[in-house]
Amino acid sequence: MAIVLNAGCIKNTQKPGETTREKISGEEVAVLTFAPDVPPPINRDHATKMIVNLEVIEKEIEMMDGVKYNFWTFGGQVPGKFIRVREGDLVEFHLKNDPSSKLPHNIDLHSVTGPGGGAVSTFTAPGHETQFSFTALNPGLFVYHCATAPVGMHIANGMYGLILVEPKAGLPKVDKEFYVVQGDFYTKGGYGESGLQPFDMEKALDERPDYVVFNGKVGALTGDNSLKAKVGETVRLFVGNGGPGLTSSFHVIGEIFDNVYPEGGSTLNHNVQTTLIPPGGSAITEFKLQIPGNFILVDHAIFRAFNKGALGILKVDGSDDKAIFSGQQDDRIYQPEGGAVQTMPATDEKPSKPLTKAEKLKLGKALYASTCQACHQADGKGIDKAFPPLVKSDYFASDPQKIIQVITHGLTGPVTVNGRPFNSVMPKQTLSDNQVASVATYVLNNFGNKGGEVHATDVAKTRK
Amino acid sequence: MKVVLLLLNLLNVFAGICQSKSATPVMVHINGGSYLPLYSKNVQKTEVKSFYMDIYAVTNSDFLVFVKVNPEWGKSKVKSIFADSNYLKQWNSDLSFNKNMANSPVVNVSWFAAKKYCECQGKRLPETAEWELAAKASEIKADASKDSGFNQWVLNWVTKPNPVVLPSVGSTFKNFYGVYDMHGLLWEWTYDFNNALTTGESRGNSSLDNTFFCGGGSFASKDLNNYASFMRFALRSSINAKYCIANLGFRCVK
Amino acid sequence: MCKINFSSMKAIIILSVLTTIVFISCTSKKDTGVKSCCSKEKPAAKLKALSGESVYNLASPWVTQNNQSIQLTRFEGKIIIVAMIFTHCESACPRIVADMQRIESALSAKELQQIDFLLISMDPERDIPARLTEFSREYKLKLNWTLICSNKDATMEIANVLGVRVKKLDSGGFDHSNIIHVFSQEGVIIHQQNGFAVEQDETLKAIRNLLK
Repeated sequence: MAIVLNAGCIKNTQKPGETTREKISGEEVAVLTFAPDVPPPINRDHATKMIVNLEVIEKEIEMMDGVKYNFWTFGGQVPGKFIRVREGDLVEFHLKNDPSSKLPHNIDLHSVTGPGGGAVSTFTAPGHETQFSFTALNPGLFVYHCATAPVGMHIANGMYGLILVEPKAGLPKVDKEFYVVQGDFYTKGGYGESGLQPFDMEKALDERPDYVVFNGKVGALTGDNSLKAKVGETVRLFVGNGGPGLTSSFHVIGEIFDNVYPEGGSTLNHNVQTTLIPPGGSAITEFKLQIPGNFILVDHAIFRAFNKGALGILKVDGSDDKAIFSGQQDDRIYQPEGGAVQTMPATDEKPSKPLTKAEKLKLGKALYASTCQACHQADGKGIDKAFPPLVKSDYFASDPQKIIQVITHGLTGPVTVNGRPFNSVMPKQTLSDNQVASVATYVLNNFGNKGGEVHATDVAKTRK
Repeated sequence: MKVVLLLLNLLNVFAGICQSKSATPVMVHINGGSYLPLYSKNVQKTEVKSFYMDIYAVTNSDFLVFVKVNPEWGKSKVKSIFADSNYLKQWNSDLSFNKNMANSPVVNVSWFAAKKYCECQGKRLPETAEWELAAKASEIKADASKDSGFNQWVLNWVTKPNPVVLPSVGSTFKNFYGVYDMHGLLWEWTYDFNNALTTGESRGNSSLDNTFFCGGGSFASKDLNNYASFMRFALRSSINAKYCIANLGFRCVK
Repeated sequence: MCKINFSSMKAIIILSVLTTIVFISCTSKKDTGVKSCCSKEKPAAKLKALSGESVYNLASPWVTQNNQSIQLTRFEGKIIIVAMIFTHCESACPRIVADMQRIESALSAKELQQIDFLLISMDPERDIPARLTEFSREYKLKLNWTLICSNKDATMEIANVLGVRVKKLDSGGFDHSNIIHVFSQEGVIIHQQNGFAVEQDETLKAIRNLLK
């Protein structure tokens, strides 16, 4: 049962593109967070001046066990810190470039209306700080990224993050919010090749990444770093795609998105399995958790999930609901439809001389193992309600010839063996007379049965 | 009379200079050639005449000698119009620094300081075209600009953040001309670095904003794959002459 | 070529030339004999303590459109509206000059008594004094406008102090930033107007703030 959240709250009362500029009252320093955490929802009914301080730090970080990479980061991690402001806010943006940086950097925030999205005004040399201000005119979830030449490389090294401009009325309340950004990375070595891996320009131009990951590294959202929530909670994922090359087919295995704001905009979609997030784009997905378990975040271009790292886990605890998901109820043999008695494939028939009892027992043992054991089991006990036992079987105790009949002609319909009912289909076995005689003799002389011998000539007679 | 005195002074000076011979030459000859700047039309290839280049970047020790003779360029005395507050930040005082950086290239020096130093040596800062021409050389050839292995090596260095103390000059590689550390150690000032005209917006530069820059030339960039030269261009665009940056030093030419 | 009047500096010229010859003739090019105050320029005239930020710390030699040899300290004491241009510029520089003239006409005669206008050439090769005079006539620049040129080095230096980017083109022209600067009476850059055809209110405000 899809839960439809209170979508009415998202609707702006004015058309997109029309903004009445609110008066700015007061100022505050924006709280920024590292992924997967999100700053708390804005609890304000007016526009204010938000002071954002974001530093650029170039550093070596592990991409996965044993694999190191020189990332360029906003704030010290990939993705960069999450910025949360309100529609109408005046954002005073400070970009600081650590003195240890090799290069100048800048920032283009997709939430900025203005040249370069701010890139023009924030071109910052190492050891310097630049400042500019913008009014957040449009609500939505926006990517920000570095736009210094060569732009592709700056992005490929991890210089991106998200800025959320909440609509004036705010977003509906949910229990948990998480911040996830997909990115593709291009290294000289292949996936998993250890050591400090340099950036590979050619692979980047060809859009052939070695790593496609959430939040900057393989396993950023698995194991101890899994996202956590409880049954009954509503989860909101702020998802971005820094690219630089690949579009994400974002899906959570085992869950359906009750709500999606495709492309991080204002339109609402419901009941979505997989949503597309282009490089430089975003999406907001919401879903209510009804059962416990591990729900896997993936890029459904599936080799990326299982072979390149685009995989994260949402661990949900709480009580089960078998009606929603029962777990496995049964696992039984499946035999395709058709005649009730089936023919097993023929074995090679060679005319042969009659066998001695000893020979029959030896051959019979082998045949039993290869032909009969699957159903009647190694110990001859069969399977209750499915396959009759051969142990001290009363079925053929009175008449051993019945074994021959069953083997050569099969048996279908209700039958009682050792007091228990069975109603299955035993296919006829395509065995030679000698083979039938051998396995029948083996059965009679094992499993606590009384003994005896079956001859090939007896078998031949039953075929007529 | 004045002239005689002058000539006598000159003789003394000459004696002093010429006595300080060292076994290894400290400048090498670089053949002239052409250099195609980023962001220019084909026809705007710059012809570079032959010149001599310092084989090493100027070190902290070298710069100390200069400051001793020109105290107005000391850390506490330099005028703020010629250097920002990070000037010689890594030095302890006007005339001292930790021994371990004696042979490291001097950084946190402004263009004005670098230019003055070279002038006082009877040299000058290299033109960007001269620097880039010399920088095309790998260990084994004069023009390795199409050599993807070399480009990748340069790019690898460029992506790493700076160590706190830069390694000594001579610690990276000696190129075809005999010049050390053109890549892999630090960025270097050029005389005409301010001809790198971009706004911070590197994407719309094919038709530059005409009100900020009078742009008679066109701006389609050549050689999109030589990312390291993009980065040098970006760095030059982002700095002003008085900036003192932790990974920016210089060497002189003649 | 914009010629600097070196008549009072002959001795230093000779010294420099001879020293250069010595350098070339020495087999070793290593020079531990760092000269003190190795500038070829005349030391700046005696000044009261200048702010470290003052442009008048530059000791470079300049020539005006009237062939006068000056240093930048000549402008000390007045508010200066400054821009770097080149006279053969066809698009941007006429706009800059026009914008400066708009500023001039927005100021009262009384205010203008404290203000001077300065155009610095970024083209020492072609902008000789005669050319500068011709230019000022074309644009009907008044007596409170000074146009100056110098050598390549001084031009590069002032451009870097002003933060003006300059790129020489094959055609002989230049790509350059378009900025109008306001110097305080002490020569500190207190305001910059970037681009042209922008609102000049901020600039006028900055100027008026300095008026005594």
